[in-house]
Parts: sequence; structure tokens; C-alpha cells
Amino acid sequence: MAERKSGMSSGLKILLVVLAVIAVFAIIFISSYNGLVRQEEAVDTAYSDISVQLQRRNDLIPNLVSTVQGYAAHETQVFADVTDARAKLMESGSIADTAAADQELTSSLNRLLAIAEAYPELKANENFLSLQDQLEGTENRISTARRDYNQVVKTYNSKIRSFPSNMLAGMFGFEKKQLFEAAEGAEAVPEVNF
Amino acid sequence: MNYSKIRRYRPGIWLLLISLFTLSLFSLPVSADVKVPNPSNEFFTNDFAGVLGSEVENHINQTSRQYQTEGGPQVVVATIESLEGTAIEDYSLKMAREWGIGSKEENNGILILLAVRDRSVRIEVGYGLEGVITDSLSGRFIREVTPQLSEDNYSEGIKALYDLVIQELEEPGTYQETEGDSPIGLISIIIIIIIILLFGGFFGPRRRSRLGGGGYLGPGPFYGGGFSGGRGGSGGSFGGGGGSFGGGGASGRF
Repeated sequence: MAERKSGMSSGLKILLVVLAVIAVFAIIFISSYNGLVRQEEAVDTAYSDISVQLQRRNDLIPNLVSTVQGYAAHETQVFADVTDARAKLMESGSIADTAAADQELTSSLNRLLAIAEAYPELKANENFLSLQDQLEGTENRISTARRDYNQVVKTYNSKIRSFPSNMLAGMFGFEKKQLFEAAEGAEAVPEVNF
Repeated sequence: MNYSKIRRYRPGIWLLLISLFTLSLFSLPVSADVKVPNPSNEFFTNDFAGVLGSEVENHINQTSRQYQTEGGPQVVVATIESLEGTAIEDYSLKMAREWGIGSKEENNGILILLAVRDRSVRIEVGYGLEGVITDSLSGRFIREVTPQLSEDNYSEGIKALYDLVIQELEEPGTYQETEGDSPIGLISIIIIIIIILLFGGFFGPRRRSRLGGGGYLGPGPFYGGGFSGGRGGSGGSFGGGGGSFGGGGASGRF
């Protein structure tokens, strides 16, 4: 009799244990789902930070080019390179293409600024100096935004592959995100002729 | 008989604990490359290179302290010997972010960093002040004090740079808001721990005495993981408020 009583209460215990386990898993899954949503949003926000800065640099370029042209009109190759790279960046679709175009534009802009070193009058021009500060500031913001973006993407990517969020990622279609970096060999290294 | 039944649940509990612990590992932050020193107790002046005169230090401390007490921006000055091969932009960004200069709501922090041996100087501007201390303005300020810095008059040069920034800040700036990170992960882990603890007590005294060690081992690693990211208090009455930086400002060489 005593045995039967204990048997019943252990049946109840099993039921409660099962319920508790279900509750624990429900909490884990809800919080991990919310975590995925939050991290995906963080990735999107970080990418839009890059886009904002890329746009800002694109807006600066025409002014900078025309200022440098005023002093060094015959350096046509560099101006063409900058203009091409800028156009390529504006047309780029995928993240890898954008990253490659960004790299190309950065290197052509560096050559543009290097030219200024040879023109003392340009270097003394307050308008040019201001544009140069803005360009350097924007380049720095781009590299900061790029690093922050890659950081959140890495966290996100490792999260969607680790247990238990990988199950949720599969169920709800959370996909792997691309890092902001040029594909291997995609960056065009320009030939420099002296 | 009762014991053998209980023993069957135990692997499940351990599996749960192990998977939870593994989960908590993934939330640890990744450490970065350069090591930035901790801020001084004064917080506003951090003369690691030992190049600032005491009057200049007092001037900066007093001005910045008063400024912050009035609810204004946090303007911090740091001098270092060497950047240890890092770009000044990366170093100052890391320093400004780690120290959390400026308030979390207004992101109104500014860091003036001088790297003596690298002969570089930078003004790092928090998000909230990018509209007031623009890149081109920062560049102009730096160019204005470059002659003093080139002649190794670091104390005067830094004071002049600091005063230029303060003067500009007298005008109210445009502020941005950032959203705080909600500690949902931590809360759910605490709830789970409570459930596990209830779980342990559930089976009555016999059960608890058997599982005692194991049941209470669980929470240990979680607390370690959950709180290891927090920074220790600075002890002084001033410290960083957690302002954000996105790489605004300008740098120069002298």
C-alpha cells in the first residue's frame, strides 16, 4: 500500500519534471530566437552605417576633384581613375563587389591626395585642406564601420551555427551574412607608371 | 527503487547544464589587438608620456570637471609614448570606446590624444558631437597647434588644442540617441537557474542530499560568464559614461 502511494506520487513527479523540462526548453528557444532577431538587426544597422559613410564620401569627391583640377589640371589619369572607381562603387550590387570597389576608390583617392604634395599652392588652400580633412575623416569612419560590421557578422554567423540557435536558424531562415571584404583577387591593383 | 529512477533523470540535467554553459561561452566578447591603458583617477588628464605641466593638467581637470558637472560634454586628454605600431586612428578609437568617454545618452565625448614618439596627434569626436566638432574643424585646430608641437612644446600645444575645442563646444551641438542593449539573455539564464534550483528542491530532502554538490555547482560558471565583461568601478567621482564613437575627428603629424 505504501509502495503504491509512492508510485502514484512519482508518476506525478515525472509529469511535473517533463513540464519543467519543456518550460526550460521553451525559455531557451524563445531567448535564443530573440537573440537571433536582435543580432540580425545589428548586422543590418552596421551595414547601413557603412552605406551612409560610402555615400558621404561619394558626395565629397566631385568637390575634391574639381579643387585639385584647379591646380593640377594635367593629372588626367588620376581624375579618371577616381571617377571610374566612384561610378563602379555606385553601381555595385553584392557586398563583395561593394567592398572591392571601395578598396579601389580608396587607393585612387590616396593617389589623388599624394599628387597634392607636389603642389604647394594647393596644399596651402584652405578649401582643399578642409576637403582633405573631411575625406580622411570619412575614410576613417568607413574603416571603423567596416570593422564593426565584420565583428557583428562574425558573431551572428557563429551564432546561427551553434546549438541551439542553429535549429532555429534553419527553421526560420536566418542565413549566413557576408563579410565586408573583397573576394580573393577581385581588387584591381593599378599599375603605376613613372 | 526510488533512487534508481532519479538516477535516470540526472544525465538529462547534466546535458542541460552543459548546453547552457556552452551557450554562455558564445556571448563572451572577442578581445582586440592593442592594449590600451586604463584611465587615470583624474580621468580628464592621462599624462602617460609625462609631458604636461601641472598647471596645464590642473586647468584641464578643472575645466572638464566643471563642464561635466554642468551637464556638458566630457573632454579627455591623453598623452602616450608610443602607439606600438598601431595607426593613431585605431588607437584613439579603442581608447575612447574602452574608457566610455561621454554620456551614453548624448555620446558627447571627446578625446585628445598625443603620441609623442610617433609625433602624431588626434582629436577623436563622439557621435553626438560630430556636428559641432566636424572633421575639417578638428583638422584646422590641429594645424593651428602643429607649430608648437613640432618644437616639442607639448604642454602648450595640448593646452591650446584643448582650449580651441572647449571654445567651440560653448555652442550647443546636435545630439543623437542610441538604444541600450537589453539584458534579455542574462534574465533568461537567471530564470533557468531559478528553475533548476527549484527542480533540485523538488524531490525532497533525500534527493537534495544526493544531488547537493551537483545541483549547486551549476550556477557557478554562469555567474562567472555573465559578469566577467563588467568593468570595475573607477573609484573617483568621474569616469566614462559609455559614449559611442564612430571614428569622427581628425589627426595630424607634427
